[in-house]
Amino acid sequence: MNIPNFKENRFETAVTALNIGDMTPLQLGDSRLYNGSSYPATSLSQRFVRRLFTYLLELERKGLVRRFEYDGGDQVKFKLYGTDETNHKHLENVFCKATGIRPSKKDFNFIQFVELHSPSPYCRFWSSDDANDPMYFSNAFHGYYSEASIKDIVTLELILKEYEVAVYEDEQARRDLF
Amino acid sequence: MNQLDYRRQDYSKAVTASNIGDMTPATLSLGQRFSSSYFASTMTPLVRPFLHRLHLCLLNLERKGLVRRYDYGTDIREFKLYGDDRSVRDQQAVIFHRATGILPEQQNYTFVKFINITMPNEIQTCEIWIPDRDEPRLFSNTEPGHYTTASIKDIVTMELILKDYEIAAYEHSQLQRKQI
Repeated sequence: MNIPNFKENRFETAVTALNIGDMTPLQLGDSRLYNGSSYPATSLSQRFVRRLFTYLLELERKGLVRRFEYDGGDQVKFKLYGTDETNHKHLENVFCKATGIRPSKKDFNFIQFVELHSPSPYCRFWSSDDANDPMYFSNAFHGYYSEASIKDIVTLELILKEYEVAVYEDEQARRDLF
Repeated sequence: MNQLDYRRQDYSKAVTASNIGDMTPATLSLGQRFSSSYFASTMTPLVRPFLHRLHLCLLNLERKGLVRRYDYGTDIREFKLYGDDRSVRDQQAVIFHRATGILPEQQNYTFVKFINITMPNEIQTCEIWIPDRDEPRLFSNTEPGHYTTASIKDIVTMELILKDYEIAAYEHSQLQRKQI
């Protein structure tokens, strides 16, 4: 059997809340899932938001993303590249190769956490059904963002893990050269 | 917000199909979400790409020597954490446990079993072990009767678990290099 190239398998098919009816084997129409245009983050989605946040802190510790704090730490943004400015082009290339997503499309701020000091923090992030046309999502819906499901949050976590693995692979490849 | 130790965030709170009603920010009761016929459902086309991605992820881990593949005939394929090689299995079990908080013994060493995965025109099935609090449970994306129905989220959770394992393996070898 041919073993396909894993890197060819991109995250372009990230599933959005709009087809949440397809998330389970059951087929439900969207209208049965939610009927308003505004809702808060649920406690369950907050759990996934917190996991994503702690994971991004781990990536920051490894120098793979950069953190920016606002409002006394109540808002936190993460940018793709690391603390070393000279290395960020390289990291962008690794990210692009690993995920099929061009960081420039994401304006480098690929996730923002809001109201971290409150009991109900939420996040806004870029996700997409189509890597060429990323969209903003939020797990708390604020009018001009698309609704994010837990699956969208988890998809971003997977994208970041793919990036982290790719960085290790890149390091290993460079070591093998010498 | 306290900066938590990421490695302590294990997957013991993995979300299962039974609380699928909480999967979106919308707050509807379970009864509005699905009827009892849910549990007799079959796989939707949307599951297929996720299953395919999980399969590729496992093949990639096999290539790196982190999991072992077993093929039975042409339509059943199992992936186990490690094979019969005693010299590597103890180390891999420790790495996996540290990374995910899951004892491999609880999973009977088999993560995922695919059925018909190499046959694109057939209904593709997977049986996966997902940690659910203390007791890992067997899920399937089709419902053969004695398994709990798996949602895409369960499949993706397994992918996340495997990615954590892969990252931990890199961290482990990095640590070993530093010690030399």
